[in-house]
Amino acid sequence: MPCPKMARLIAVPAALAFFALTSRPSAALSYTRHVLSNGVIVLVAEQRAVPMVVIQGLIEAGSRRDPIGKEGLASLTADLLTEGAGTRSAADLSRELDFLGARIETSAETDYAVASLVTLSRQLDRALALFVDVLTRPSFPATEVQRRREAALAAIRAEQDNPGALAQRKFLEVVFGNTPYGHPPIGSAEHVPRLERKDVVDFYQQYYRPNGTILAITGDVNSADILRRLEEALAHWTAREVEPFRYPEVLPSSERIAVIEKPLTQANLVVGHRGVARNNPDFYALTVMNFILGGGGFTSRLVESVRVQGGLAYSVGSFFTANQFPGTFQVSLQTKTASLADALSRVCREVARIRSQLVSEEEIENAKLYLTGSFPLRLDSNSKVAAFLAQVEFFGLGPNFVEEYLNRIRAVTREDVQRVAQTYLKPEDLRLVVVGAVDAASLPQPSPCPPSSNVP
Amino acid sequence: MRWRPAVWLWFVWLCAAPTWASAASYQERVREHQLANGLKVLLLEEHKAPVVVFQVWYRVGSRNEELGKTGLSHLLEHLMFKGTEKRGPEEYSRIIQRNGGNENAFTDSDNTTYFATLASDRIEVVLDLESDRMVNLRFGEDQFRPEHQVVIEERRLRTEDNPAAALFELLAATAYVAHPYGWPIIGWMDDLRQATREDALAYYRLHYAPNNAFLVMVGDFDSQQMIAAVEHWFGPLPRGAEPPKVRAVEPEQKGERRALLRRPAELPFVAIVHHVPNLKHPDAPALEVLSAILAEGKSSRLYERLVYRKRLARSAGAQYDYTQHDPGLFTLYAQPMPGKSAAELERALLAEVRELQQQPVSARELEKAKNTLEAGFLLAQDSLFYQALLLGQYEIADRWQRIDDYVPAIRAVTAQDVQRVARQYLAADNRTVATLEPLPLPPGKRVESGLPAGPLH
Repeated sequence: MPCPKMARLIAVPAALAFFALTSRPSAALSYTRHVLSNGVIVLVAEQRAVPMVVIQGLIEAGSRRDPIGKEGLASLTADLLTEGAGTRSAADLSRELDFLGARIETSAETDYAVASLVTLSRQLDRALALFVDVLTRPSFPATEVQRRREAALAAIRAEQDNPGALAQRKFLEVVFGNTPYGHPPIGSAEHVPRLERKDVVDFYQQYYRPNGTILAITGDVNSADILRRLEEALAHWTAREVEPFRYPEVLPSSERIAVIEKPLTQANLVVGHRGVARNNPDFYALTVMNFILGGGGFTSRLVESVRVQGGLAYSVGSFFTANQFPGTFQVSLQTKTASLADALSRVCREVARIRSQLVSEEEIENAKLYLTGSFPLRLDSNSKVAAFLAQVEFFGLGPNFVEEYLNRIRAVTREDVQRVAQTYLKPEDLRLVVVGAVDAASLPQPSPCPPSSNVP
Repeated sequence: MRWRPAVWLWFVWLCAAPTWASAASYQERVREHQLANGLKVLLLEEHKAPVVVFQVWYRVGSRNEELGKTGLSHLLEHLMFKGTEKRGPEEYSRIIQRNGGNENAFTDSDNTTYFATLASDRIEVVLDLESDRMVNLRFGEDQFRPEHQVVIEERRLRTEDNPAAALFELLAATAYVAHPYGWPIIGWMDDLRQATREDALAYYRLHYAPNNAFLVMVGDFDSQQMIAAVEHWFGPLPRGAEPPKVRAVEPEQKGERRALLRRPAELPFVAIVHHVPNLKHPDAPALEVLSAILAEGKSSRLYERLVYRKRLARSAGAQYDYTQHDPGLFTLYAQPMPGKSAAELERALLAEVRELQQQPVSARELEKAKNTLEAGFLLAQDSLFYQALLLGQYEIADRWQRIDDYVPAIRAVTAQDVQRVARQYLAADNRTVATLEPLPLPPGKRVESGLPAGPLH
């Protein structure tokens, strides 16, 4: 950490969120799907190359389930799973895991909570017992609740030194308002202090349930053996019903441009609006469109205009966060304060251009070759395969997802790209957040991309 | 430390268990081949997925630079994508992408590394591209100018606007008085601004040649065939002149140094470094175990005591530069919880150092630290990319064959070794401390954004 390597491009974290959903399995990927008697869905891919086992657990207990006024509860609950479980205190759990050389990590995303285990296969028995305790027998000691709450508040405070995180937080608020995707899972300085142990226990009781849980297992395991062990180890965990999640209506915010003033050398910019759900039939055409616009590594139009031609930013890209319910479309970049207007107008121009003109034959061909050809790269490790399988199951993408993905990407035409650009990119709806030493009065009004800039 | 009886028995059982299963050694699995022009090739077949990771490592990094021209290694890394005699700007990236591959590069103090990951049937594409730009790089002022600005933006993003990164930069500059590890890999801002196309091209001609590089390939291929392909693409390249050696040696530190960074920030930060030897020295494994005792996992001393029990730190950690080419640093760092000061954290970190110097660690804690290191080493082999990275790092620091020494050397470390290296290297006279003191945000300080005032229509 002290001495970071300088890479040619930092991966835009949010862009990974997009690609995580579009991960491409190799046609050779084989796995089995099972449902335990209490409803846990188990996916197993045996891969014996490395003597290790990975379990990726997804629980329908993400931050979208946070009650209004208790934002941050799902995240606090997930954090606390490892802070005391079964007969073990937090410190005991940590020592045992470290002694085994195994790792259990828990966190809350928007749609789901994640609980993962990585262990050497020869320690699987002991590590699995700890994992089952963490998932099904957390004890939520009062002192730990208080400690993790303080830690969450400190992390929120530390965001003040991370302009990208600040911009993202404000952008979610502007786009989603008070609705479930409108806050980062960690919650806010206003709401986290209100979270009590009782809230955590209630949240856990309500949403952590076997029939809302997916376990994707890869590595050096025998499928029949691990299923038998899980059936036994999870037998005490009984199925419960819960009100299905419904996304409330989002009222468009009147705030089109928001500035957070900070004494920085760069303006950190996020511009975008509401996006699509993962099950949108246009998802594949949007994937190709976004690749050409700003998703495609070093060759996208945004990189070409803002970085290669303009020299204005180190990192620039666009992405859709395709969650179970419509997420965001956004473009983000950082540029020296004096270049903000230039960079923003280039973004506006590219958004307008992909709507008004067909992309070239070469561009669509390149995008499709990359999106289909890079399939095997997404699945070259146990960790990647486990994460991929869990997502395929969570989003209901089906057992033939691999083939379907490849076929549907190949079928996208230039006209499809223009149609989805016109349908899902809405210059008149764009919201802009800037963090930096910027005077709000100097920004274009009333909209980040005024119609005059929409001339390709 | 308090242990519950059940846990205690558990550990006794584990301690008595036989040594951990480990995969076949790297020396059994890696094939080394040397071309007549001096290019070395390391090949590791791994057939679990139809993928190949390709990396080319140049033995040049910020260590090879000079004051006034810092940052040239990294600037050149960016410019390497700007074309060759037969390929245009960014064509490298487009070709890799059309073949379903990912590509990127990174610069470190000792090396500059370019990499691509491709489906195994496409690997020849990258052999063609990399052999071309190893000797035929060409770009004009029109490509140089914007990329130069991109790198300056990168420095703004990573360092100027990141308080902790700015602190680490100041810390290294204070800890080293004679060795190039004292300046940042990305370079000082004014050096960067003054860098020219000619500087970059001269640097390229000096350092980029087959005899100053090696290839690492891990994945789904046949080594015999791959050697033939590498010979075809790289064999004809001419051997270059030997690049100048780095002569700088850091003199022994005699007395603690301190640095203070006062700038707008939300939370303070403190970092402490000590000069230490690298893996070429017999004390390296004990230093590695020491770093695990301090910072590996949530039961490590810094986490369990400073973060968990005392709630002094929001985060705390340690790092040991095991595989740097020249002697590096042993780092301790912590970010205080809101309301706690950097001075309190410094005292707490140094109290941990003192305890390690005064009392030998218990057998259980030593075993736990070794287990985390060994498991971490084995689990990382899940990633093809990581295995290639490991081979490259060891080859840069010493010889790749030494990877196989890692686990046995860690296993052989005793509690006395840990105590001895803590005393010898984490001594006050060998220490540099840097503190970030947050200043409140200056009110109303704005920079012209280039945007016209008022509505735009």
